[in-house]
Amino acid sequence: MSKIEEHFDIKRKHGLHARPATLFVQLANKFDSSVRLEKNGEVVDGKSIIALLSLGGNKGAKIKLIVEGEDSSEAMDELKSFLEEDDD
Amino acid sequence: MNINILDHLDKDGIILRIKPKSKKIIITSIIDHLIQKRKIDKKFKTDILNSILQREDMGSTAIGSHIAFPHARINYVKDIIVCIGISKEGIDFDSLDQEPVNVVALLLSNQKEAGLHLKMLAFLARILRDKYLVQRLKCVKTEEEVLMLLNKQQEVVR
Repeated sequence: MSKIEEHFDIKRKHGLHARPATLFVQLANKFDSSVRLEKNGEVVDGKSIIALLSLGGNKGAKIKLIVEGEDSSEAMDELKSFLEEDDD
Repeated sequence: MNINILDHLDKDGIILRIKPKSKKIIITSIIDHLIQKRKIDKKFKTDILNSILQREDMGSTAIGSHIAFPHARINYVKDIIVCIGISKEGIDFDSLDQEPVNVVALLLSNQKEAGLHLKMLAFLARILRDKYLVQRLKCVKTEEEVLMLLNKQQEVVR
């Protein structure tokens, strides 16, 4: 089991609103690893849309992505690049 | 999280006993309700409706946990309009977890208010992820009771 943590800023213009949150969770669920996001000390399950939405990830928000499991390296690569996309 | 739901929602923004019809009919009936309560102008009905339905076509906003957030960003509203519809028996809203939806929180936000839209979504997700609250909302008898429950819940999650 390898655990990876990385910090970054959300670059999407409108932040993590309903659609990107849904797409993120669908992507996260492709991996066996657990996926968590942390913002301002609050940690939520990255495989639950309602939990992810509750984070209110606006553009510029500082996020920590925590991925743990067999496929954590691959999951981190894909999830991080999704969150760092700057389109809507 | 500096949203106070009571600043954006009053009893005219609450619909009890949504009838279990198709998603399109339900959304239309919510818009008709908002027109009747003078929250939006009738002349924008088609535009608003099309905008919400197009968004649903991109992917259902029924995100699971018996909740749906149909929404549109339009310029016909001042900042944000919130409408909460409740169905005790549950409605088919093309939910991502295939479960029936009991709470429909419809949002209409001005295109300039992306920040407020995101905050409202986050706020509603935060209060409605409590399954116990959804269970209680299913059984309310009056609009005032909905406002009271939401007000109580916002104090808990703050």
